[in-house]
Amino acid sequence: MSNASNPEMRVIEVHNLARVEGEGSLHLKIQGNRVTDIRFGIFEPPRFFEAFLRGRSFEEVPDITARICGICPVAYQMSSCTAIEAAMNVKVDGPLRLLRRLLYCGEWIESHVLHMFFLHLPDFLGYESAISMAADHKDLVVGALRLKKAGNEIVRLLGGREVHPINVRVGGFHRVPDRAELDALGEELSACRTFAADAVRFLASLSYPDLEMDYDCVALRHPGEVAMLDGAIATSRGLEIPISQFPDHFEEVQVPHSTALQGRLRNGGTYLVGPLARLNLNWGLYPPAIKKLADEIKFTVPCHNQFKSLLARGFETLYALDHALELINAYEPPTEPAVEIKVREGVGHGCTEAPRGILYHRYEIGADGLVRSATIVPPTAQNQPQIEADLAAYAPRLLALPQEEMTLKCEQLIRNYDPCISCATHFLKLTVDRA
Amino acid sequence: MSAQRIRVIGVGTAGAGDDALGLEAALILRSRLPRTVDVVSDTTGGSNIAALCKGIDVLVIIDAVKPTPTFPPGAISAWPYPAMRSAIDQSLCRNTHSFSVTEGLALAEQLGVLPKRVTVFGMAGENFVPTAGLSATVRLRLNDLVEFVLQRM
Repeated sequence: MSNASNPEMRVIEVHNLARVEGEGSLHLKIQGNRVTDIRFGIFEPPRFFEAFLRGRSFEEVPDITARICGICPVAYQMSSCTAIEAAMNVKVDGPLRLLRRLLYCGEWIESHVLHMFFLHLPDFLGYESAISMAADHKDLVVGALRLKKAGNEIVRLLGGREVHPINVRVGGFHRVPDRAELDALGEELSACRTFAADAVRFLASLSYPDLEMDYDCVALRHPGEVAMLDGAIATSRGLEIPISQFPDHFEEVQVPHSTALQGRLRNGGTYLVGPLARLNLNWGLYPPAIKKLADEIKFTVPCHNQFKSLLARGFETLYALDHALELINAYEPPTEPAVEIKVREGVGHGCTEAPRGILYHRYEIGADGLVRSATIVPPTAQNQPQIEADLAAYAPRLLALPQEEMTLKCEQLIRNYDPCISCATHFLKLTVDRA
Repeated sequence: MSAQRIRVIGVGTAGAGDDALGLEAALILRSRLPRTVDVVSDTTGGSNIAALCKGIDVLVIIDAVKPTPTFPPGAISAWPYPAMRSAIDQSLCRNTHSFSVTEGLALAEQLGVLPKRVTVFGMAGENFVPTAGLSATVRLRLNDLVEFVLQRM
């Protein structure tokens, strides 16, 4: 709307952002050709998970944290398990670690496919929703549903069910699958391979706004593989630190318009986590077949256009599918479903690559095995300031557009991040003023 | 029972109080129905519905419903889809993370895979608290829900 008393001023208000997970809003004020106020608001009630965890047994943590998100519960389980295992000085390796990677592949597939084809693609094709898009792009939607289901099936088999898995424990799993179960899964994944590659080609044919930003990309980096579960935290500006040093370099701050904390570098800078950041930092480790496809569609790395995170998700989906097949083919059941845990007092840090970016957990565990303190830093909380920075750069280019179109473009930019608002709202600062 | 190909989907979330009632009803129905009827549980909300519509003539969905003063915990209803689309949409619990049941059905409709007959059965829950089991009210009414479904299939 334009302001009657000040025709130079425009305000964009989106009270309920659509096609994002959770409840968020956008307030944008423009004076002339200058953006004077941006608020990517999160008004979903705070959820107090860190407080819930205090006093609970370390064994309960993966099941409780899985409840934070229905799309990326595996990420919460993996970050909590690796943090607690670090506190207990336990290393999960060999087939158990590979099964964890396989489980993570399932989550990358189901989460990315949901976002790419059902939440974000309608923006690029000009539809209100995936449902209205389905009538004109039937094969695409049917293929995407099948691929998503295959990802869900990995999570169901290894996690016990598709949403909020129950089969993960600190040290490994409660039960591990046998070969025959994985073989059936492998057949379905193989059947989805052609669609997954063609889908990337289709996504490459879309028209992308040319917003290039000087992102400081942050992701896990592992010397021998595309990082999912462990490694060092690396940035595109040259920082490379052990996971335990995350709090020394990153912090969370509270802002009035959000019930989620906002992540930033301790030097005050914004940063980018998620598929595009991962691709920019780890592209060298991608298999030749995927690099060949990138050449074919003329996708170059590093890429600093977050609208193309849609393509980054496509590459990651393809990687997760191929990697899942590799892991299934090479699977040797472990002798035990979990490593034995000897409870000890300690502090542990864990960080894994959730579909939306790095997910950091820190736990202090007492000698009785109870959680004394917990810190959880989800990717959407870390990306919030970068979303606002992107909007500040993008909005001035949209001033000639009608209000409705400008609003849709801003919403599309927010959806570039696949924000998971429910994940991000863990915190509310409560001040009691006692007179 | 006719020769129609029938699939029953129990929708819900285990460990979230009465949100699991669709899953529990499906468990009972699996033991009560002939093997020719496919009974499945689905914890993904509505995102698998289009895929589960394939190769059937009749689709039955069972899910928890939000209670209201006129539809209190334990109340049961059956809605044909798409005739009562808006009633289903208003009654069923929404999913902010993925497709809801009505969105899943709408997608199946758009893709042209919706079976000839679709009925959504809902029972109002009382308690949707995470980590809780079914409330006593819902547990006591579960067999009534199953009988209600069987009579209308």
